[in-house]
Amino acid sequence: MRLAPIVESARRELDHRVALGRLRARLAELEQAQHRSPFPADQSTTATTDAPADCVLTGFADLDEALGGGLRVGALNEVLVPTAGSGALEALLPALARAQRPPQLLAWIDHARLPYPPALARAGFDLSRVLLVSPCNEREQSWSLDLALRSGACDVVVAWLARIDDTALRRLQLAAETTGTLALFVRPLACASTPSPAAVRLEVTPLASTDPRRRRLRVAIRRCRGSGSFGAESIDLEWSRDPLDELEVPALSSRTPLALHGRGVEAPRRALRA
Amino acid sequence: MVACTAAAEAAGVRPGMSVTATRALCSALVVLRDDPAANARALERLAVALLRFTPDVCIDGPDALALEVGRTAPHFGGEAALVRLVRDSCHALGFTAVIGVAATPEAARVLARAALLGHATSDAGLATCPWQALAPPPEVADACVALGVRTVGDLLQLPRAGLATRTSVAFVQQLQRMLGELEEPLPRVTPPDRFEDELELVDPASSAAPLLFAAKRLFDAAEAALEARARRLVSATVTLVPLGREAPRAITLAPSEPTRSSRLLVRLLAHRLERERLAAPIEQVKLAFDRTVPCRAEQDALFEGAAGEGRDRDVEHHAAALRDRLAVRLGGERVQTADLVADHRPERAFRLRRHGERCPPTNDAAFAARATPGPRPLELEASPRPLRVDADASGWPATLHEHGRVVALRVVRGPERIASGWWDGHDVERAYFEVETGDGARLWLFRDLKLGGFFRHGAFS
Repeated sequence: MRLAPIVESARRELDHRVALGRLRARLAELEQAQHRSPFPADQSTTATTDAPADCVLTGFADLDEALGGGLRVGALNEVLVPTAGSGALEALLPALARAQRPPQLLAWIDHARLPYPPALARAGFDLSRVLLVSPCNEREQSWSLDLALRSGACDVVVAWLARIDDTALRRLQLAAETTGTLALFVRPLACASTPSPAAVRLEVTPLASTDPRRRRLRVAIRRCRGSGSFGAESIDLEWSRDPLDELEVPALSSRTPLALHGRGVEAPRRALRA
Repeated sequence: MVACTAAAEAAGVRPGMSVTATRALCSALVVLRDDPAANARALERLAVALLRFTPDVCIDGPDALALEVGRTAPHFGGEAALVRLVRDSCHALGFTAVIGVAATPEAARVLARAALLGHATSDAGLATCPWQALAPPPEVADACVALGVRTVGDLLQLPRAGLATRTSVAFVQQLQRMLGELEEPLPRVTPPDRFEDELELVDPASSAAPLLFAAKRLFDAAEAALEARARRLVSATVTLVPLGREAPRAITLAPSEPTRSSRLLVRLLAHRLERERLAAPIEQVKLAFDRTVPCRAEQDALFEGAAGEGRDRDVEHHAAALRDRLAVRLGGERVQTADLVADHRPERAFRLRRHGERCPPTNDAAFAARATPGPRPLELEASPRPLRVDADASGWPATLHEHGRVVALRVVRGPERIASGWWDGHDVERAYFEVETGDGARLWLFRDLKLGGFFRHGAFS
């Protein structure tokens, strides 16, 4: 008797159950948000997968569990990244999309760089509800962040934040608390040693992917308010960015040479001149 | 001396006196030059402002306006209420109005003049008004004195033919117009398309408070003018003209939603003035509309249950206020929203729309959203950055030289060919690769197929 098919079908069934559980949890979450749940959510599934009121699921079950429900709403969430292209924002975009309820804005406030709008549109954001603010210096950025967090018009405020003093951060934390706004600050790894009032602080290390269609990174939880986990707990995340990527396609084995016509035309000319 | 304030009158100053005579009566008197043209302009502005009460407003002589309110008074709660409203709005614009209401324009004029002469017109009616309220020319006035009449009623009891010979035909016609026996057509004031107004400051101002006070006057007039035309303001320019040779300072106000609320506009101006440094005291404030739009009817929530919509509108207000405040401090070009554009070149696949700029009517966005072929990086370089990359035999990126280090690259996606733009002079021919460095960071590179070099265009942050 061959075990492989049995194991395979069991695994599939488990996957289905997990997926169903998550869907139920999401449904209950949506209904609770509307404050008129017609029937109570299934206790057995919510106990593990539903987010508490002040949290937004990241979509990665391990991370959500370690954070006690996900990113914090009404608080600062810091992500420390070592380099550009780490994938940290890409991993957390679905959580931001979940935290934003459309008439409310997503404000992206940065004095150096702004996100690429087509990438945001692709991640499912409604661009008309995305406000891109580029203050001219760090002081203006801090002022703009404070205003956006206090305004009550934003559900999510995102910033790449290098240097900011402790008192300013504390003020931002208070502002986020009063309006229940999720603030996500992406900061360089060098900021790890500076104090911060952030409720959640994650340190991200990109990992080389084993499958080119999927991305991987490691998250170390440096701080998480209100959850049992302390110290450096590391979790590996893996995801694919495009559902189409999951389809079986021929591997990138055969490389088609690039035709550079500039070169192609030039070479014989040079030969002629010589 | 043409006119004086109540305080001056209390000191004994009367219109008609010479300036030297009044100076003798009251040494603290401030004398301003009479400017008939400016007076006419002011009256015209008032006429436009009063268009909100009736479409028939007429400029009636150098110091009077005639409003046809027979049809519109019921909408404002009756004649008495309307009179109160008109008086209040005149007062808000800095005018003191004496108002007479009657069935014909001439009768209304007589009542107003009678009130000006100190005659209480409350219920006694036209007949008890003094004949001086008819403002007759001097020879007619002499005749009236000779006839021994005291009131308008006395004049009306005299036989018309005799009265015409004793006074003048024009005077009798005036009486007939008053009684409605003769028609009196009045030319209508038409609201101008543009709004321009200015206010001279008696005392040149060097701080924000008096400027804002003057601006409030202008914005009040603007609000009335906008209401009369059923339009809302998209952007306006406030010009501060300083004393002396300094150049005027123009400040553009663009609220994020079309508005006519003078309170909002004054608040916006106050924000801007906080940051202005005035080189010299300001002696004149000008206001002009740059753009207005017709207002749409505002609808209140039809059902109690539509609370969600009410919340949405609150959010809209909060969002508009946030944008306004950010734009006021940072500048409109720093507060943006993005639209997708159907273009394959990544740097042209979107368009940034600055604060206050209206959305172009296009279905580009929906098309562009479907057209994006592959994953795009969250960070795009402002312009492609040349890189030192060694290619392998087939022309794909293999190693990257950066900061004196050699980094092995692994192509995880690509090549995505983008060749476009030959028609607008920015043609590109590129092969895009998503590459992963040894430590797992992912970059977006392209090889320029015309030049052969590699460029970094973004990072998958």
